Amino acid sequence: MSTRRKVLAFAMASTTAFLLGSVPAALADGASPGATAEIMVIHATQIAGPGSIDPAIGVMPQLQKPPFSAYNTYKLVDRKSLPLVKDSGSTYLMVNGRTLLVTLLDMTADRRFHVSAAINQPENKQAADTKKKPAFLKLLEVTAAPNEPFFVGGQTYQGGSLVLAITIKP
Amino acid sequence: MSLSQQTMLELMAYADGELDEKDRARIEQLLASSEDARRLVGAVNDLGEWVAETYEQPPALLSNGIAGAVMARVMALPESAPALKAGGVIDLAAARRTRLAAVAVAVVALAAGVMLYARDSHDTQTAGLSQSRQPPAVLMPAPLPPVPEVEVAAARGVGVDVDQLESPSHEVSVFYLPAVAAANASSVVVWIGDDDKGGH
Repeated sequence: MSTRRKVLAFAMASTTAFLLGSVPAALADGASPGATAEIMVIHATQIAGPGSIDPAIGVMPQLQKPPFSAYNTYKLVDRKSLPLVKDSGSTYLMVNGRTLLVTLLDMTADRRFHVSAAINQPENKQAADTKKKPAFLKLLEVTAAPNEPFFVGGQTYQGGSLVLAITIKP
Repeated sequence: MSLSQQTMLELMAYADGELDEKDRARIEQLLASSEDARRLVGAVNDLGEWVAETYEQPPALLSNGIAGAVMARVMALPESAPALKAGGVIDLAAARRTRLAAVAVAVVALAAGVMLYARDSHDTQTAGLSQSRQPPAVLMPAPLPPVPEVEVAAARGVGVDVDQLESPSHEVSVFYLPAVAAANASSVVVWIGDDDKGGH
């Protein structure tokens, strides 16, 4: 390698190292500390036989523990990534007509995400009873480590229950 | 710049005249269509000239005809060259200082980059985004003290904690799932009784 090549290689390595350091620094200086909420909507049912877990769900050993062990079949219904901006809610319309609202509230000192989730209760406009119904989930605030899912389950759906697996990713 | 590392290496080899005919034709096609490629080759050539003047020894000095090479170099210099005005002596110490300065600048850039990358940017975020960042007072990296694993675990929280939960008119259960493997932290399941039958 010629001297010129050595100087060039060294200069490029130095520049790369400097840029690698500068990008996080720029984020810390003023860029919005956003995140992404990855949402998996899973349909849990109990059927005769050993049951199964949809391979599209991926590795999720939690599904074999209570309360999920009450079901033996899990099928991925939908998967959605919601961009999260601090103090600005992101919504997701679920297959049952309800809307999930996820908001990034803060980053904690131990580098976890403080997020809130809410699920509304859409009014049935054709029903005689027009009284406003309470939200299915008025407010859930969690502090979650990056890439660690938390679950919201229980919504009745097609003979089973919907399970929302929500993972906050940086 | 949209060039791959392999392409940049080939462009540098092209600038050095090291490509065979086939590769040279291919790179010349790239140069005809890519402004980035032309800019890189231009920069390599410019830097190469600077490096050649600063670092590389004249080939003639490596041969046995050193006296002839010296005389040829002297004759080639313009009469107003500072070195000749100073008695025909080339300042080797100044040249050495130039080389050391160039190396020092590169080392400082590398050290600054490594320090910026390694430092904890999150503390600055939580301390207040409006504070302006001051340049590091020490540019050379200092050896970092070993950090106990307990402190690392405390600095990076794991798992999921429920801070608040409201679901009026619904029965709510919270399940804390233990970690299933060393790399998998505990998690939380919030199970809400759907007495409204919101599904289809």
